[in-house]
Amino acid sequence: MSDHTLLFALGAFLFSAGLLIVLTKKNAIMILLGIELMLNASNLNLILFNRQNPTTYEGQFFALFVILVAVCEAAVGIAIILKAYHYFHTSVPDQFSDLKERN
Amino acid sequence: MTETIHSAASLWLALSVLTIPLFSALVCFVISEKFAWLSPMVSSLLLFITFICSAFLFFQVGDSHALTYSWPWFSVNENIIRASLLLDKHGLIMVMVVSLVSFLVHLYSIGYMAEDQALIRYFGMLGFFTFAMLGLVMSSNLLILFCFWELVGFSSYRLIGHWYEKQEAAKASTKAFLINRVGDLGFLIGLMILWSWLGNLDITYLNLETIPTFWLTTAGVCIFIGVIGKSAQFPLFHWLPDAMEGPTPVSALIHAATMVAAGVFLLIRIESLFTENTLVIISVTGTITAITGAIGALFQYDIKKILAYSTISQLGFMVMAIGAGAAQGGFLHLLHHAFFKAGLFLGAGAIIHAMHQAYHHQEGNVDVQDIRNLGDLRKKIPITFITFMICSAALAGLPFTSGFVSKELILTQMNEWSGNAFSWKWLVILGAWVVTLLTPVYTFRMVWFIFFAKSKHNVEMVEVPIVMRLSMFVISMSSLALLITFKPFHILTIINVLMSLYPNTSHLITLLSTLILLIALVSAFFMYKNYELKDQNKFLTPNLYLDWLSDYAFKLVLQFAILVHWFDRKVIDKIINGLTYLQVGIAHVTGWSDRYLVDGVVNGMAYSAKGIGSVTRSLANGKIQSYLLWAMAGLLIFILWILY
Amino acid sequence: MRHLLSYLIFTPLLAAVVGLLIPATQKNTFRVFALLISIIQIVIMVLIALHYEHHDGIQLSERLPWISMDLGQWGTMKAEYFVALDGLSFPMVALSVAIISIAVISSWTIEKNQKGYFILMLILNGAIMGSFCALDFLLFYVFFEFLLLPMYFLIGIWGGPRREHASIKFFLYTLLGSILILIVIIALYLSFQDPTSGKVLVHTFNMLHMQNPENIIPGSILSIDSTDLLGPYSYRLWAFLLLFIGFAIKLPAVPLHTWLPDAHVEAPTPISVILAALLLKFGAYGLLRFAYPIFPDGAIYFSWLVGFVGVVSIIYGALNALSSKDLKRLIAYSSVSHMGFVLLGLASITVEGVTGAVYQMFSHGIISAMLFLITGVLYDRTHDRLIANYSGLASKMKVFTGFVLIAFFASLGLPGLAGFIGEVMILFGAFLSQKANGLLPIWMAIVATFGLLLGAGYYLWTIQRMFYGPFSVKIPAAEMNDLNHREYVMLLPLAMAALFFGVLPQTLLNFINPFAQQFVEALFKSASFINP
Repeated sequence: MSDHTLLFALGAFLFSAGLLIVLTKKNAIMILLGIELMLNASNLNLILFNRQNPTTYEGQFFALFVILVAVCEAAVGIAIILKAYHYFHTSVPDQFSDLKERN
Repeated sequence: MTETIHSAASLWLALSVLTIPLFSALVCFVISEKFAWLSPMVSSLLLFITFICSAFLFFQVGDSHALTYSWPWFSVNENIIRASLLLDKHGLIMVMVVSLVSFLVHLYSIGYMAEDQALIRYFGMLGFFTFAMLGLVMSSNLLILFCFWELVGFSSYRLIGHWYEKQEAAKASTKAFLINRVGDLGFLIGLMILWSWLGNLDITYLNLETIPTFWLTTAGVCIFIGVIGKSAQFPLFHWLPDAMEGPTPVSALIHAATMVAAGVFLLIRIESLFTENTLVIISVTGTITAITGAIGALFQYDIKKILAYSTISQLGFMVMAIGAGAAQGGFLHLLHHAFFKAGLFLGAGAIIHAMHQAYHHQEGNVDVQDIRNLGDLRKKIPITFITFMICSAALAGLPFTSGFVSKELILTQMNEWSGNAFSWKWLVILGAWVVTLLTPVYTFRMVWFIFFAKSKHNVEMVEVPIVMRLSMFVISMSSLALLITFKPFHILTIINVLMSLYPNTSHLITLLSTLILLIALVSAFFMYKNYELKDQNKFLTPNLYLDWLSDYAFKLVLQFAILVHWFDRKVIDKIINGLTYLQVGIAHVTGWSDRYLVDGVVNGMAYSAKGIGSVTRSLANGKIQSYLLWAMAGLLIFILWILY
Repeated sequence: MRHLLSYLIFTPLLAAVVGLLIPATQKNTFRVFALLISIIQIVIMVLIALHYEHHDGIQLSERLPWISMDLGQWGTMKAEYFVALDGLSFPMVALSVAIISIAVISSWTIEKNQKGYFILMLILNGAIMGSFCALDFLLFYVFFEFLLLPMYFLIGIWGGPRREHASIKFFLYTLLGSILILIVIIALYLSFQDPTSGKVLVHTFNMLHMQNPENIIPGSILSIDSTDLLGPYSYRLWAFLLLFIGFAIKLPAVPLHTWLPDAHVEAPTPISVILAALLLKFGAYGLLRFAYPIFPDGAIYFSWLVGFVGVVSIIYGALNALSSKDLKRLIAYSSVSHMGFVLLGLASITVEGVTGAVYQMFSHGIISAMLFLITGVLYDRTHDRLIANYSGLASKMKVFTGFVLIAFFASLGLPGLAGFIGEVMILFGAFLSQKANGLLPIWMAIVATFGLLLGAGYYLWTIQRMFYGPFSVKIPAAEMNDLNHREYVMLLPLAMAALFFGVLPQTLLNFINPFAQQFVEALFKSASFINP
């Protein structure tokens, strides 16, 4: 179990790092990277959890699915970022404030 | 038939006697300033007519039974208060005395007041006084009598204050009225008692059997309190010396002959009301007054004040006589006193007038009423001297004068009253004898220092005007012996009436009193022959500190009144104001609470909603990451909640 | 001729409406107009006097339905326009007509806003007449409240320096009294029925019905067999007490009198005259007309209290007058003292006492009017009322001093002037009370006589200080002229009246006597009905 424990820790670390990146980075692309990191951390976890019960392959399938979704997400996300950059001339989402009430 | 004509004539006479003086007063008040000089003549003439009418009335009614006339005055509770005239022997004699003295005083005043500025007021009030006094002696209803009783007090007040610019006169008049009023309250309470038991105040119809003795005694004593006030008895006599601030003829008329005698007259009128106990109080009060008055007269220097104290003493003597069963003597003395004391006052007035005229041209301010400044006047003003001497003799009770007769009568009757066994009555008798001893002494002192002693000042003097001399002369003749004066008019009636007043006197008493008189005169002669009058003996203030007492009482009442006023303004008013302020204060408190509490809660709700809104709004700051942060936090809390 | 009383009441009210149409620039028209109305009223009053017959019932009565309202569960309310005169109200109405005429003449010198002043006077006039004539309790109440309003403005606008304070104090005090009376009116409404209405329950305010205890609705709040107690007393006694307090404020009786000195000191002279001569009478009038006949049991039960308040007022008022430094305040306090006599006479419930009380009300009306006019004469000349600032006026103002003497001596009860008769009869009645009906102890009458002594004290002392002595006035440049014609015209009739009613009291007693006898008789009769 010790190797697994280490891997679990790695997953948690990666997830936390991703979360930290999502919460702290200003740039949308960096946030997207953070999200990717978190998705990958969860993939790692899914595979590790699957190792607990090797007779099935739900974990692997889920991981594949996540990768698929992540690819789509990255594609859509980057497209939105590019579109927003085009419109706002920035890729920092804090400055996308057209809908915010003025105060 | 004859009877009705007779009584109708009497009625008209009585009414004219009553109304002519009132008419005189009215004439004086409506006369214009320009004709003010007329008022003395007119009113003197009217008073002369009054006197003639009263004389006719007297002879008309004479010794026959008393006549009464009455008219309803007002009614209350089916009891009719009647204005009624009672023309009986005592009343008619008084009517005659009053109108005669009043006439003489009017006449005298023409001379005495010639230079006065307010003749109209003076003669008007004199006429009004005469009216009130005549009404007093003629009325038979006690309430009406009380009305006139107050009215004489009022005119006395006005006349004492005739020279009101002088503070003393103003004060004296107020004092006289107030002290009289104290007595009048007693009178009024007496009337209340009689009314509550009888429902009727007519002297002639008083049914005394229905009153319990206690109330009868109380009523008698209460009415006697009125007499104490009006007739200047102990302890309410000290207004009389002060009343001498008024013009001297007024003192003669009001404060010697008539008004102060009204009390004594009233005692005779309502004699039937007095029980044994009342009479005791009356006689003792009279004795005390007689003695204190006589002692007071011994230590005065002002002529008028000597005479005032002498009046107090004599009035006390009469009251004592009435209390001690010598009502006849008391009444006779009242008549005689009216004449001789009025004569003395007129004489004193003549002296003052003459002295005033004499000093008029001289520098310096000499008190012409002070006997220390007088002396040796017998040659300068002989007529005044003679009349004054006659009246003084009557006062001292020298034989062949009127004073002697009545004094004898009183002493005799009192002797019979006291009985042989020793009792308190002997003290009253002793008092009477002391007074008969003291009276000649102070009379001698007065006469001696005015007319015989050496004078410090030597001034030229002239006799007073003829009108004054005339009235002095008439009045002194009538005190020589009352009989002689009236003899020419109508011999039989007058003698019969007067003789009925003179029962036989005891020779022993006559001798004894003459002896006492002699002793008194001789000792007074030796006492005062070489005597220098010095300053007043402060210790022996003759009015027994009553002046001080009444002033003190007034001050006390005033202080109390000020206290009450303070209480009213500061306590009651403040409480009331305080209640109002309290209400306003409560209103403020509720107003405050309305603004800050009730309104505050409502506003607070709004504020809190706003606050919460702004907090939640700050969460939705448009930053995706913060949304995520909160979402994460929420998720964490959720997880923790699930786990634990 | 049948509506004489209505003419008397509504002439001034109508005139007030007409007066509103006159432009305010027509300054002096208003006073002539007001005087004209007063003269018309005097004529009406003479006609009334000619039609009046001396007996103990009411006369010249007019009855019209006024308010008739179905209050459902609370029954039917019926108030009438019911005015009439009897031996009590006739002297009061006659007095009012005379005093108001004199007050109008006295207002001749008013300069400030004449239109407002005289229209308020006319309203006051009508309201006073109405209150004295009304025999319906509600009508009385309405008229009475109505007259407070003009009074408030007349003091508050035309008064002296502290007029606002005085007028508000006056208004609040009297309003308090009115509220107490209103409470009783409501209770009375619930408890009395109209006997003439047959089977239907109709509540009435008619005084003639209220005087008869048989008209009390059984089981109502004031019913005679009710045993409910509120604290120590039954509701009936409480109702009497409330009425007594309410009217005692108006009288005024100690300790509810403190509005009077303030109101008098600040009010202009004519208003002081009306206040003292007429408004004070409503206290005693209300007791005589309403409180006593409706609650004879209370009157008998509380006679000691009423008498005591009377005696305290007599002595207390006199002492306050003695120490007053302001002439007007002195006279105001003397009014307290004199109205105390009225209370004492009333408390005795003897014919003498009641007759005396009514007589005293009348004579005090004349005398107090005179007294306030006298202060007005001085105030007009110097604008100063302090006694200490005057001395020796008698030598400068001879005629004036004559009137002062008459007024002062009438007020202190000199026989031959009007004040004496009333006071003597009150004292007789109060003294008689113990023997006749056992209500008042004897000491009350005896203590009350000291009021006469104190009265003599403060008046004579005032004369001594102000009129005697050497002449001096502390106000420089004040011209102390003797009376002018207008003042003479005001004072002379009053002085004549003071003399006339002092010498010939029977002229007035012809009116009062039947009333007083009937009053006492009826009171004891209904008292014995209530407490057999």
